[in-house]
Amino acid sequence: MGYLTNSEDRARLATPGFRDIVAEGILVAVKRLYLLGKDDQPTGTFTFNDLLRYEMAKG
Amino acid sequence: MQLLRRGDVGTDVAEIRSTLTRLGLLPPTDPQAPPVFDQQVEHAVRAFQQQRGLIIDGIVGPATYRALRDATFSLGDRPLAFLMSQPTTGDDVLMLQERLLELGYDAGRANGVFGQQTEQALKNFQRDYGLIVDGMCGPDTVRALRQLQPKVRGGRPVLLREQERVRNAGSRLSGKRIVIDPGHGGQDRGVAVDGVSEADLMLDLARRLEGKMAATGMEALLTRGPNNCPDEAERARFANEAGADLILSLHSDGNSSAHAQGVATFHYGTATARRPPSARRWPGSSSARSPRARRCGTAARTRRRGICCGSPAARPSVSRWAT
Repeated sequence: MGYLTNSEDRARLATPGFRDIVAEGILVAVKRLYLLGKDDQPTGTFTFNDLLRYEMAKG
Repeated sequence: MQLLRRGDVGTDVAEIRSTLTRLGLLPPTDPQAPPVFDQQVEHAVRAFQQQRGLIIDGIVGPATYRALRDATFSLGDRPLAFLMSQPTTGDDVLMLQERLLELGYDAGRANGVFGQQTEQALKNFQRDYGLIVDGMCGPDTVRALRQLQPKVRGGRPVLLREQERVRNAGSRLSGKRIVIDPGHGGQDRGVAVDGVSEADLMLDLARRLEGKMAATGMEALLTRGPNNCPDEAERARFANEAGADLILSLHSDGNSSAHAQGVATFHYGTATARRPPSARRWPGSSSARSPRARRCGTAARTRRRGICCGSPAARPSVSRWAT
């Protein structure tokens, strides 16, 4: 992800907070893979908190 | 193995040249000529890498070398069987797996490696077709597969099985085992610019991801620590032995242009659909199969985002995502 040769990408990736956002994005992507289109939300609107709520509800 | 690139000379280069010539990517040259990895060879290697869905760099490393070897075999060229110590690999194995899958036998992922599951599927086919059940793909088996060729074909059996596997796994994340593979490591820093290195960034990201996964009840395993750098095969073996549901391989990129930016995702499979028709021809059939729709064809492609297919030859036998 990202090009370290690009100053914008490099600055973003060097920010710990941004890496947290990326990590959450990946986790949501994994979740959506297993949802197989059911109970899914449009890309960009599914948050880490939604995911935790969902897991608790179905647990 | 040693990487071969433009300017190299030797017997390995001669072998690559003759393979590329056999594949029709290089015009036949004088066999007495000195074996040089020249610009023409580099171009042919790039064309070959493009066809196979490999990373296109014009350099022959382990993955390209294996793909070159694999490409020289067509089903029926040699008898195939399961060898525990060193599994046979090749396009002939891939064709056998694809045929078995099309006929409804679970040969696993069509990855061009003759494994135990391929043997089991072959034995089941032999039993059902009234052949000698020996798990060997010899002339009789090839003939039987060829006889069925016009009757049973097509479909996307691998995709169906994959989807079923994901569906069976259920939608809950809790209890799933995910292997996170931060790229590079140890002495290998990956792309490094202005003191920012790919190896450190990806390890940090992997640890953040691991923590968040643990919070949802998933089991996350990392392929490496800060000081080691297992090779690709070791990382794949680790994931396979862990029985992971998924492996996420994390990398950053670099480019000669400072304007290149954004994210790309690669996933396992469907590289066969990109192969040229000639390479996909079934022995004995006169027409090539029509290229199937690429699985990634529907993926959204914008300037900064992409989803691409990887090559089964170059990928480990678990689902692999690189971001």
